[in-house]
Amino acid sequence: MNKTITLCLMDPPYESANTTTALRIVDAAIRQHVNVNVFAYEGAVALTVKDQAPHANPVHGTSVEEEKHPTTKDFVASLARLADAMNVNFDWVNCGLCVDERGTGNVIESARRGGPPDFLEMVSTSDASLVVPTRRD
Amino acid sequence: MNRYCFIASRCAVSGTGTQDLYRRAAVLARSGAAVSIYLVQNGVMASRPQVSNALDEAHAQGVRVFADDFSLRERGITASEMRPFVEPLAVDQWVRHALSNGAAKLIWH
Amino acid sequence: MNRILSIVTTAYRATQEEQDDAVLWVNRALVNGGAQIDFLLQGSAVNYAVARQDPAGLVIGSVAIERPAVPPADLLAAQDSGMQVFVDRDDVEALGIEPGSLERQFELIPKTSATALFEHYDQVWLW
Repeated sequence: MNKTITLCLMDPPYESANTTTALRIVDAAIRQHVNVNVFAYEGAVALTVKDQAPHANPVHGTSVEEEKHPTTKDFVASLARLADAMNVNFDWVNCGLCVDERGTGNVIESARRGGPPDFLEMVSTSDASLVVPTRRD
Repeated sequence: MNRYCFIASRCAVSGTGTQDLYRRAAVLARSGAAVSIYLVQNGVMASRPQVSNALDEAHAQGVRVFADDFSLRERGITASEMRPFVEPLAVDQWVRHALSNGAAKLIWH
Repeated sequence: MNRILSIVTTAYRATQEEQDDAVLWVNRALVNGGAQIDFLLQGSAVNYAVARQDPAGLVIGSVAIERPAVPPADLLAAQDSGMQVFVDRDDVEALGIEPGSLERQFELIPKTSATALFEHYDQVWLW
């Protein structure tokens, strides 16, 4: 039987290395046939916003095509596809109240709306959980 | 046996609470738990010698200290300048470590 | 024109996702627009002065990060555009960084001199 891990993410996109590391952990877990739940809380709900778009970089002097800027929504969508291919469960839940106050409700199909009860259910059915807190101190 | 896997993501010198994390890991190890610290992101700066006595003490108490191989490379930290007890570890190996032998308590700092 | 000292104290904050250090980036953008800004690296940001850094190769799912930030290269480019780069020597020592591993073009200064630098600028920004 596959193991399951739940992560809680809090940082908004493009502001913390925490997200990159957390998504690397998710990637590695899926590749080891581990089911993955993610509860996106606070600014992390913006990780899956559909309207994210790559941009050119005037400081680098690169065009959109040359810059190849990644988006976090593409990371998450790609992880969902990877989970499908590996036949493991991947459940990404955005905290609904956090979404409402930020106006970030237009999200990719790989993410769904939920709340703390979903997080509790995820943790209750997981072998391990990892809270990745946002820190400003 | 209780297992604890700490993830230390903050700089040992400028990151608030990092020294306390090392000390907490040492206390748990002294009490008989199996404890590891995975240095990631700016946390790998503690791989260099003489940055933190508390990390030396944690290791002396039996805490295994790993460092994310990518974070090391990203910061230009080479094996020759690392403390001998810090073990480079890829993230997939850490996932295996964290979820083997009964899942551990995973604590991010 | 005001002279500005930008003190960079955080490092590698989202340099993979953003493919830049956003603090270095915005200061360089301002300089490109005519501002006079110099950098002072302190805290964990002194590691930006380490010459050989390899941030390449991350892939999440099937999405590759193809142009991750290379901070020492960005700082050298900043120098080429007229910015000075100072590095806090005390913080280099505190982090156990071998001075020989640093880019030689950056100026190492003791913390006491770093504070004295403030006198030479009209504005001081602490990032």
